Order: sequence, then structure tokens, then C-alpha cells
Amino acid sequence: MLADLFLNRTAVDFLEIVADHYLDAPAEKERELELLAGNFPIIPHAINLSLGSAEGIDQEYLAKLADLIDRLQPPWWSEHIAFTQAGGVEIGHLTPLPFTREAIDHFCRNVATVREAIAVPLILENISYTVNLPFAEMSEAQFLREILERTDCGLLLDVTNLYANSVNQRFDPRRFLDELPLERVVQLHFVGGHWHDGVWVDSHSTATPDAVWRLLEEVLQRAPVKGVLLERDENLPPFSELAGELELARTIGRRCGRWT
Amino acid sequence: MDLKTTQQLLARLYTDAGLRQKFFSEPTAVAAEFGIAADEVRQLAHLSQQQVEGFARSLERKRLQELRRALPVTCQVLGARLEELFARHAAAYQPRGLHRHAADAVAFAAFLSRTPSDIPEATSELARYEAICLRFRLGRSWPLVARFRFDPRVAAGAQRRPGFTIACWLRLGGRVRHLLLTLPIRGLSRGVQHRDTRPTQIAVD
Repeated sequence: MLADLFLNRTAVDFLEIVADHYLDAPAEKERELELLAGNFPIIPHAINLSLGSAEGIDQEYLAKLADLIDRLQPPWWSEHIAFTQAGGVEIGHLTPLPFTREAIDHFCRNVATVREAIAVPLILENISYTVNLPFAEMSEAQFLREILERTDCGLLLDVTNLYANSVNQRFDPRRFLDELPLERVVQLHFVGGHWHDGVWVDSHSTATPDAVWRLLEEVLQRAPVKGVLLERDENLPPFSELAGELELARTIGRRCGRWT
Repeated sequence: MDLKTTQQLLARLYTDAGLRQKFFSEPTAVAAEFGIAADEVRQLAHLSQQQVEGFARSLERKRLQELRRALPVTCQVLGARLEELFARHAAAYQPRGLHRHAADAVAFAAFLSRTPSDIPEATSELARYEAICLRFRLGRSWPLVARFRFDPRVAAGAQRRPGFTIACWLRLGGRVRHLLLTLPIRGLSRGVQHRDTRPTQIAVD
């Protein structure tokens, strides 16, 4: 993949790295990061800060993440509206928060803590989920809106996650978009998933389906998106297929007047 | 029920099959363990067992998928037995930390070596070999030497003859290399130098 990337440099405008892969990393990974950062703008994407944890932020993890972001000096970095650990248990996946005021309060406190360590703007991503928590005091869209407004963060809108939730939770994704502060959208994620046991899984493993392309176009028409990222990291096809999807996203963005 | 308690309970429900089973049959007893008041249990009763079990299975599949990447030959050799053995390991071990998937693989290799009656010794030695490769690749700078009772190159195949093998890992010119020297029962056979030519995974999310 790395060789294909360099052979097709013009097909890729920026890269997103999973920040965790470069924390406490061996020398080979450090060199890989140097090579990538020397040739592409890099956006760090953290997955284990657990911004929604009522127990607060892991300071050791935060210090390592802050160091990585400081070295890369990206225009923004991203994390998820989720929690990944509690009571000494690492869940191993992004996990939904209850849509409550208490969860929003903890989330905002954690973002304030993170901002003391990292000055680079943070944007927050919506997750896909398959467990509905029974403590909701508001809708998911209201929950996201309040978090984004109280933290004054940008939104990394994962269009595929939105599609997955709309299919699994049976709601209209366009009405969901109506409730979001779309003026805060900075970046998009898109990719394909698959069906498993009657659930549409955001597995990053297939070509982007038509329904996600249509949703992507709708968001690009309505939101001031700066970057669109194909989040394919499983079951990788030949690079030409990935480049084709990137080109299509670029074309849609152009059609929507987001870039030239 | 405060968020901290809720998250602690959810984290355990997602990752602990025993607690899950108990919770969905006796929610009040589990709630009491977590200091949750009886009247709050009614709220928790709305948690869908089907959804929680489905999410828990997806977490196990993810761990297994990472294990297949970390110990590819071992997993291939274990074949149909892999899932059952991994389920036994996963029930007793929860990985943590930045390199949690590597930690999981190393712990699984240790689990295999503790269950000699279940699998051939050659397979547990193969797992130990792959786990050491993984640990070395994750950042050790100094050379590492380990001894094996089977040649890991043939432990996967039909020729599972015991063969005293010394393996050495080192970094040369910034790349991981390792050397294997095997002494079969009938005497010295060969020494082979391997260069690590596996492509580095690009971490693009």
C-alpha cells in the first residue's frame, strides 16, 4: 500500500493516520511517519482518548498524543464522541454515550482538559453504534449539537456512520442532518460496510455504496467541508479502485462548489 | 445512577460473558454489585440483551481478526480449533494499552503453551516464535535470542520432528532481521538468514 501511495501521489491530497499506531512506536513506524509527513499533509485521528469517560482523561495517553500532534502541526486533529474504557476495562471499540446532560457535562470537561495540552483545533466524529442505551434525555442529533456548541469544536461527520445508524435504528438521515449544526462540519469520512446478522456494520471493508454517495453529496451541498477522507482499511482492493473513489468524491465536491 | 457507574457496568457487560449472562437473568443482583439502587435497575432492564450480545460478539470478532494478523501461521495451523481456543483465552484475559492487540497475541501464545494436552507442542512453540517476532518488532533495540524445541519453519507442516532451534532477532540498518539455527536429532542441518521483507502496514484510517 505504501508503494502504491507513492506511485500515485497526485491521487491523494492528504492522509489521516490512526494516532495510536504512532504512539510508543518502534523506529520503523517513526521512519514511516517521517516519510509520510514529508510528502503529504497528515491529520492525526485518535481512537482511545475516551473523551466521554466520566473517569476523566488518561494523562499519560494525552501527553503522548500531544507530543505526536505537536510534531506534525496539522491544521486539525480528530477524536470521537464516545467512550472506550471504564473501571480499568478497555472495551476495544468506540462505544456510545447515553444521550444525557450529565454525559455532555463530562464530555465538555474532558475536552477542556485536552485543550490545555493540545492547542491544535480538535474536531469530533459521530460514531456508529448498535446498542441503544435506555437513559436518553434527548435525540442523538440534539446530543451531538449540544456537545459541538458547548465545546466549540468542528464536526468530523462520518457519512457512513450516519448511514449505518439510519439503517440500523431506522431513521431518515436527511432529517438527522437538519438537526445538526452543519456549519461546523470540517471533514467527512466515507467508506463501505457489510451486513452481519441483520445489522449493517461500518467495517471499512467494501466499496462505498450508492446510498452513502448520495448522502455525501447532500452534505457537500449543505456544509462547508474542507476535506473528505476515504476510510478504507480492510479488504483492500487494487489502489486504482481507491483512487477512483477519491476522484469521484473530488468531483462531487467540485460540483457542490466546495473546491475547484 | 451516575455516568461513572453506568460506564463501568457497560464496559463489563460488553467484555465479560459471565457477567452478561448473570445480568440478563438476575439484573438486581448484578446491579447491587455495582452499588446501583433497586429502583434504577428498572431503567437498566430496558437494555436489549440481543444488542449487547451482538456488540460483545463483534468485539470478540475484532480481537480474533487482530490475532490472525499478529500470529498468522499459528492461527492457520490451529484451523477449526482457533475460535474455541481463543474464546477460552478471551474469557480469562482482557488486553490493555497502546499495543493491546500485540499484548493479546502474546498472551494467547502463553495460553497455548499452558495447555499442552490440547494442542501439539510444535504448535505452541510456533505460537511462541511468532509472539517473540511480534514483541521484537514492536520496539526492542537490543538483539534477542530464544530457544525452541521445534523448528518453527516446519512446525506448521507435516514434519513435526523435534529439532533444537536457536533464533536470534536483531536490527540491522534499521530493519528487523532474524537468524534461525536448527539442530535436529540426527545432527546439524542448516542455518538460514531471513530478511524481514513483510511490507510495513500503512496506518491510514
